[in-house]
Amino acid sequence: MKFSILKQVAMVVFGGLMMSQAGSVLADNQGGSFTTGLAAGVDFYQITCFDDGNGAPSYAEAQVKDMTANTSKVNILLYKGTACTTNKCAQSSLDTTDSDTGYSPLIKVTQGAGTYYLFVKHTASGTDSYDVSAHCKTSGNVHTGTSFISRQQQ
Amino acid sequence: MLQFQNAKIGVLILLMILSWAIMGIHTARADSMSSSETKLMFNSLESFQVNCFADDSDGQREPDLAFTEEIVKLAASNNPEQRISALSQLAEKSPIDAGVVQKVLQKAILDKDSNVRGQAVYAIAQQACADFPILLEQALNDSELSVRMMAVDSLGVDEKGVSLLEQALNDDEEAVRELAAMKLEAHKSH
Amino acid sequence: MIKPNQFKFPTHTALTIALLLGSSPNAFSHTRLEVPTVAENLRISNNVVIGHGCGDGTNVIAHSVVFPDGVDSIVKVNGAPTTDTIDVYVTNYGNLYQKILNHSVFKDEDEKHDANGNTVGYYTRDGKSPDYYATYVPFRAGAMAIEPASCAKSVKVTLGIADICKITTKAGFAEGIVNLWTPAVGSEYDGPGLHGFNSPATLTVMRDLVNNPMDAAACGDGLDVEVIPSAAQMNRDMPIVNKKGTQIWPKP
Repeated sequence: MKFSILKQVAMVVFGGLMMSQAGSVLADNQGGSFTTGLAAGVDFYQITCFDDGNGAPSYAEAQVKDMTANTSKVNILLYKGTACTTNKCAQSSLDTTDSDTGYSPLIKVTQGAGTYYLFVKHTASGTDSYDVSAHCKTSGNVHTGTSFISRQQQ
Repeated sequence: MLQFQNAKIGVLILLMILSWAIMGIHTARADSMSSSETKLMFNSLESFQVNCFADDSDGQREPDLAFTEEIVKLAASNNPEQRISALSQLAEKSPIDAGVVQKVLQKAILDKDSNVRGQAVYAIAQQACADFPILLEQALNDSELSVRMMAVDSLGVDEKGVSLLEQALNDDEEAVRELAAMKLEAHKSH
Repeated sequence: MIKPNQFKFPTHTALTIALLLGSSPNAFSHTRLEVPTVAENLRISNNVVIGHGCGDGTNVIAHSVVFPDGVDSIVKVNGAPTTDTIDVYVTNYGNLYQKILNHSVFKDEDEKHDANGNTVGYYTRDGKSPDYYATYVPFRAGAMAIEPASCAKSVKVTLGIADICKITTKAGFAEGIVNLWTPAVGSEYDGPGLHGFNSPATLTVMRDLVNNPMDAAACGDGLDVEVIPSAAQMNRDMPIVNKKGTQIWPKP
């Protein structure tokens, strides 16, 4: 076998492996699953909103897609801060239809730059997989710096 | 006997073959050592024959070709998340030819990913394919948590279902016992 | 033309002599970060700069990096260990570092992740960084937020880095085999006796005193905080394990 053909085969295989690792989780998306299956399982993330050059963050928004069809449904709680007068500190959202490709209703917490807390739960026992989409945006609704830290996986 | 024009290249190639052989033996020994340390994994659904052809009375919709193509593509993906996505969409009646559904589900119960197999169990039960109660009973004895969870989730509360739920109360995994208990509790309170 | 390794004289010996003579042959004699200091709340692209090989013309063929995970990391305040965890001083410590894909020198690379999926390091391998070259290995450092309620004026993140010239077991670590730019924390990667001993690369994040001022009365001059990988983390995360789960370095 000639070297050039070997190289092409290697590139196809390597490219295939890279594609298979990409999955459906995009930037500012966080995939996870309730591997313990327990109803009380909680996955917990911190989302940091910062100015990445696109402007100072005003709010964080999030929604979740339940990727497993079963009785259990996945929901999220997003929160930051304790000054909950003008702007709410916490919002939640539930994906009621898990055999589709859609996300739950979008929720928004407007507490500026800094660290938001995102909890992912499910309504019953089950080894649900989910995909959370979260973004930090400016007051002009422009996407700005967003980073995730995974703190707890159940 | 192989002959090489250049003796040095010949020696190099022989050395390479020898080192690959040694690596292969080492890997095989390492694999056999590691497999004896892990739990026994098996697919309880290997021998199950899926039969999901709809009968004439269920008023099956005209197949949507674009949707069918999308599902088939997802189901064949290298990414297990995409395969699960395909199966989750088959967990309710969809505008897909029954023959295609059957092929997808038959392949899925043999998937190497236990989450995919688990989702297939749920989809087969929701599609009410023939013999799905037998499938559920087999799946309750699977080695993988995700498969057993889906089996419990899919059980009804008829006499057989209740019997299997009671069996699941003795599962090794707390989550399986929890779900079975919750379903039995809900059944008793009605 | 004189070739760089024509004179068989160990590179690190030459550097030592140059330093003793008061000259600094280049800014990256040790493996260091291109940008060693950054302001808080700023995400930057950075590079680990491999300053040289292992001497005698040996090439760096693989490279392993660990960032402190903040879980059981050693935290110091003004040089003294503290029982405080890093989240007392940093609001969002964790998953701050991401490898930037680059195959110009090393053909294979991947991130290392903890059980929660957070990036705790990376490796590069299958390449050659010549002894006399400086090689840049890119990564992205996320925006660190210093805890407003704390008195931290700076947070220094210590990295554990190994520049590998030959794949051996841990018992085989020696000059000419591997350069260990790691903190001396009692791990199997401390490298006592090697010339990089306890000389790790660091990234210092400075508090934005304008937008995140300290309480002057309570904090005075403020505190210099350090976060260093623990010995347990170094032992767990320094090895290079390929995508198939096989440990490549050190040899098991």
